[in-house]
Amino acid sequence: MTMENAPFTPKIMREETIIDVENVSFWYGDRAALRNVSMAIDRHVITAFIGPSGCGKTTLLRLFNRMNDLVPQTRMTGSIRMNGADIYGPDTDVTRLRRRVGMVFQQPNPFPKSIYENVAYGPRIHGVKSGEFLDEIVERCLRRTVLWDEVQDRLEESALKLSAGQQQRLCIARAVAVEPEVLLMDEPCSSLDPVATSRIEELMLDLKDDYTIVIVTHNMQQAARVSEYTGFMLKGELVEMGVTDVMFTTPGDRRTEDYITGRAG
Amino acid sequence: MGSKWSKDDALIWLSGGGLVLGCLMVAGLFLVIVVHGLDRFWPQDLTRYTLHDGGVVLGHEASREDVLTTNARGERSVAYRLRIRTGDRDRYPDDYVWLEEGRVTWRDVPREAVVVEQVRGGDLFGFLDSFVDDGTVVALGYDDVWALYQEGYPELERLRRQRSLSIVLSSADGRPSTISLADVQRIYTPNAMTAWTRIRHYMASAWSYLWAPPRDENRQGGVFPAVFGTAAMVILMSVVVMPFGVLAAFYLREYGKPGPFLNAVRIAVNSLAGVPSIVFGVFGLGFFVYFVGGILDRQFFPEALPGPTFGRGGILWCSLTLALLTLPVVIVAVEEGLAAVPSGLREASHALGATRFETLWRVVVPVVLPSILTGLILSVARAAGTVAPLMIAGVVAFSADLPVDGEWPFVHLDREFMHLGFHIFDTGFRPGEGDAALSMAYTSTLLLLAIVVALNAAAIGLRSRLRRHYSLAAP
Repeated sequence: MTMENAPFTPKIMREETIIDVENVSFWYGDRAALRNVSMAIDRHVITAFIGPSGCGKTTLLRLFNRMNDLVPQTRMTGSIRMNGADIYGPDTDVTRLRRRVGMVFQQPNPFPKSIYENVAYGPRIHGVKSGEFLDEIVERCLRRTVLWDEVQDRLEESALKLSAGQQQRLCIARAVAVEPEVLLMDEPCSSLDPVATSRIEELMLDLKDDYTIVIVTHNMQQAARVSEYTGFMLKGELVEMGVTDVMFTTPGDRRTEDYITGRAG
Repeated sequence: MGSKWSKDDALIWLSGGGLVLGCLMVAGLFLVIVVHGLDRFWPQDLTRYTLHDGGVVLGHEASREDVLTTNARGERSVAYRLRIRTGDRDRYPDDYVWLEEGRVTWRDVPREAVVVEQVRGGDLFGFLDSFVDDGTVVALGYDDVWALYQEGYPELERLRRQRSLSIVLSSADGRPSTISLADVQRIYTPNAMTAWTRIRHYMASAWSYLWAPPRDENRQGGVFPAVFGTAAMVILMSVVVMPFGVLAAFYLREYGKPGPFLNAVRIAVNSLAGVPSIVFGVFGLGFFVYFVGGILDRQFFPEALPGPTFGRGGILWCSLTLALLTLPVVIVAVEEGLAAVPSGLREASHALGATRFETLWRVVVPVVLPSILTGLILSVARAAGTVAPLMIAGVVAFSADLPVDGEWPFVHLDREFMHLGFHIFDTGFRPGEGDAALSMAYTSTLLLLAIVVALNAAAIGLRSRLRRHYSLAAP
């Protein structure tokens, strides 16, 4: 096998591709985190990335909304295009990009403000001033994330009083409030209990009609349950990517099989 | 048994003991200051001591001490020596006399003994003899004179100002002295007071201490100008130091690129915190007073030259000097607060498309607000208690003018001012004056402590309210 020399770089290129990653490598200082990753992400489906810790899946996710720009001393080569436009191009407005590509983090991180203000934060910074319109947005987003019934009577209470699962749904509502096209989820359930996890998963399945969702997870069952496409990453490389059911039943690469069956990773 | 006394237990006892010792020392300090500070206003009974040799002393016992005496046969015995506060600084230079207890044959508490508080010159103890209007005796004897003084003489105020009224006070041993009523602050009869009148007297004295200007070279009267000056200076200092300190901390933590430059700045800030305060005073004098003040004078007040306007010590220069002194306190407190803001909050804001400034202003600043307040508290507490640099840069022991008054332009930043800390230094350490002014120092210390404690309590209350509002941990 000469796998190392000729990496298998799968690519699903179709009409509905929204993010197109071409030959991307990424370094933190001298340490390479991604090596020649190429792939495409489809519109209105859930794409999952799995792989052991440190394989680069979170780094890849954070490239899609340029969150890695905030980390000093990093370097990237290759290109990432969203709807055909290079997001690392010179005329990309990063704040507009991030408005179109929302993100939900591993730890629920609501702002230490009221529930209302958390959801209204994004619309406010993007210039929504009208109170009525904000009320409408807040209600719509909280309903969309199935939180409205639980919090409608205490919108002015601190978001930190919510349970972890509610906080994570609030973070999703906050991300949805700026009307993104893509939602990036970085291990969104890793700090939640099974009940809260299943509610988030239901929510993701519900949201995919309106948003393209990219999720990073260590939890293979989660990837199997929610995603249409799965990519397996190892040591900064995208080993294999394909339709989830196929990946989990007949992986094309030995390393994927080892990881899925628990022999490695 | 040895096994039960593990190292852990020993450490607990050691650290606990250290804590207890520290608490006891603080409690002792407070106790001394509170006891000495509060008894200044309490009217103490006047005792008349009649001595062997026929001498009579009127006063109250301030302290007593043991003296070892040896009699003619060589036997040693212990006797007491009483320290009697006698008032009348002209006669007893220290305000006190020492009496060996053996010399006292008789002591009593005469009801009609009075204390005459003079505007300057301290208290006089004695007996009212007569009330004189322009050379005419209008009342004679304690009862009449006291009644006349209390009920008011016709046109008392006007006549008092004209110095035509006076009283004759005879001392314990019968020496008469005439005191113009214009020089009398008040007269009271401590031995005739009931508990209620004593309390009223106490309250009135404490009140006038807080709100009256000082008299008699700060030995008597109030401290209002000192409290006012301290407050004005601290407020001015906060106004200067807070923006600078907060902005510097934000630069260091949020905008500056980590590297040798930032490290150098941090080292400089920490060194600044360790510089003795007197050095700041010297800098303040050299840079602010002479250099900046000199430039201001030449540019804006040339008509007053060579008399300085800003080119001498004043409240502005003191505030700036203290702002420099407390700058590191603010920077360190705010930087620590910024470091404690979870990076997840910043990321969440950026991920929603917020710019760096929006993230700082809407997410980070509310979270660090308690830390900013902490910086303010610490710097105010430090500034209120620092005296040394001010002595060089513009504090005076006595000033007739307040830095803020009704005279245009209302705020006089160039004025010298009084400061409570310096007032304590001034009244507490006067060589060759016994401790006539010392009780004033205790009272002022108590007041300064009370002010600092009250400030801290208010700020801590405010901070905990903010913390509850912006707390990072779920309650």
